[in-house]
Amino acid sequence: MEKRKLKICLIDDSATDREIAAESIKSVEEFDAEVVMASTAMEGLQKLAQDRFDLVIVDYKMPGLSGIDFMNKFKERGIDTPVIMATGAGDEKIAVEVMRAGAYDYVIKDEAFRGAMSLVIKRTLERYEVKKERERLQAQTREYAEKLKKTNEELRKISQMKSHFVSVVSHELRTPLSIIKEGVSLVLDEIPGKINEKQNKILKTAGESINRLTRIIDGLLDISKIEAHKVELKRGLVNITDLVKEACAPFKTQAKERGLELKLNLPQQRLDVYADADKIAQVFTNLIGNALKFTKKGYIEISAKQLEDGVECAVSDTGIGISQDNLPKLFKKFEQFARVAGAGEKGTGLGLSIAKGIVRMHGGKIWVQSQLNKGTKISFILPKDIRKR
Amino acid sequence: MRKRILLVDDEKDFVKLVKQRLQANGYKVLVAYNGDQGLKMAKKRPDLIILDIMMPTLSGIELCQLLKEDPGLKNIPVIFLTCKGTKEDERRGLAAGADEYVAKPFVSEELLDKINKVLEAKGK
Repeated sequence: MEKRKLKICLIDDSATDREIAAESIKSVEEFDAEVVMASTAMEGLQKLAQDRFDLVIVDYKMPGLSGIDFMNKFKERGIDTPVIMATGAGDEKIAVEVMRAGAYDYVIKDEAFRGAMSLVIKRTLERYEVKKERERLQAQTREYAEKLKKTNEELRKISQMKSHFVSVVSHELRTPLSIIKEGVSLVLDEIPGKINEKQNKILKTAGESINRLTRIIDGLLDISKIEAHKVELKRGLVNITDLVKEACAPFKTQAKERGLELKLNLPQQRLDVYADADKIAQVFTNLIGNALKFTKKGYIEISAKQLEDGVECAVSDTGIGISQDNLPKLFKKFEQFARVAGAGEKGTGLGLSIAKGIVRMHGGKIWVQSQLNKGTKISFILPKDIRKR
Repeated sequence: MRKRILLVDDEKDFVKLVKQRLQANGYKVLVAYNGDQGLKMAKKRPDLIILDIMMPTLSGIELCQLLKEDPGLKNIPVIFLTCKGTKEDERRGLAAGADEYVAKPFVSEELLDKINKVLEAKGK
């Protein structure tokens, strides 16, 4: 096995003691030790200033500057080398003094000196290595903590920017849009003067796009807020049966005009969940609106049933369905892969993403079953009491 | 006698169009382009005040609160007509003392219906 190279500074006023110590050190098999000697504390300090040592062994009792004095000066200079103090007496008080002064260990100059020296050197070097490793880990931890602090600060700034963005966009886009809408509306209503049929048609088309743009902006803002976790749920006890009936109401006319049946499959007893009523209403609105868009004949059915720990709701239709390939994309933003949509409002590509976001915020889950040309069923579960999460 | 509506909004183009709409429906229209002007014009005791919310210096919400604190003006009904369109915004607006809340972009029938409703209620 390769011997470990060590450079040791040995400080002792007694030449004999120095020889004995040096011999003891050199006899340790594991080490290939180079021993540099000094006969006084000051000489030792000089040697330490000139070169890098792995270890210092200093005598406790020396004329002039003692071993303890040496330790004090040593510490002042901030030298990072472990020190072993060699003491002539096995007095416990000396041992305490020595350790307090900053020595790693001490060795007693008696018959057992030789054997003890080997043990103490090994022990000291081990302790020193452990200390260095701990210091390294502490420095690394401090570094990581600093980085974490900076990253958190950056994330906080980004979050603030997102909120600001959402509110600015809301105002900046809606203001000109409201001017365009009212402008088109005034002309269509012939308030500034009569218009002909062609002009009427053109403006009606423009009006529909204005409405669509408004829905897209609303959708974008909703999904931005959901993704930025800026949505606060206003939770309360919600009667799902009532909520479903309310959510369906606006779609009745459209369904009737297109010859589609709007069915409700709700239980007799009360179905309650602890949720944000407005947001759940939005989920139903988005799902029903979507179902209507992609159904040409048949029906759309909205159902709800009590589960042990929540309520399961579903909106199913007899529409064009979704292929297995496209199913995973269903809840993604802006994926409008069905080329043949039915009549009615053009979508924003965000309705299902928003529905998913809302269901998830309630601790629930949403999923889809579908068959091409047969129909689609989108189901979601709302846990009974999200306070228990 | 024609009912007078005070319209307060910092967006001049918007004010121009809404004024046309209101006039076409038989209302006399007073305008103000910021909260301070709005407060001044309110002293002319219009029958109804339509307020935008996001305005510099004095917001619509603050203006509404000031109007409701003034014994001479608090009975003038207020409708918010604003880009702030969430349900939460609506709750805040109504809590500030407004009688109705319409989000921009708005549907003219909705605005006119709400104006009617509020004026009728005031008349009683």
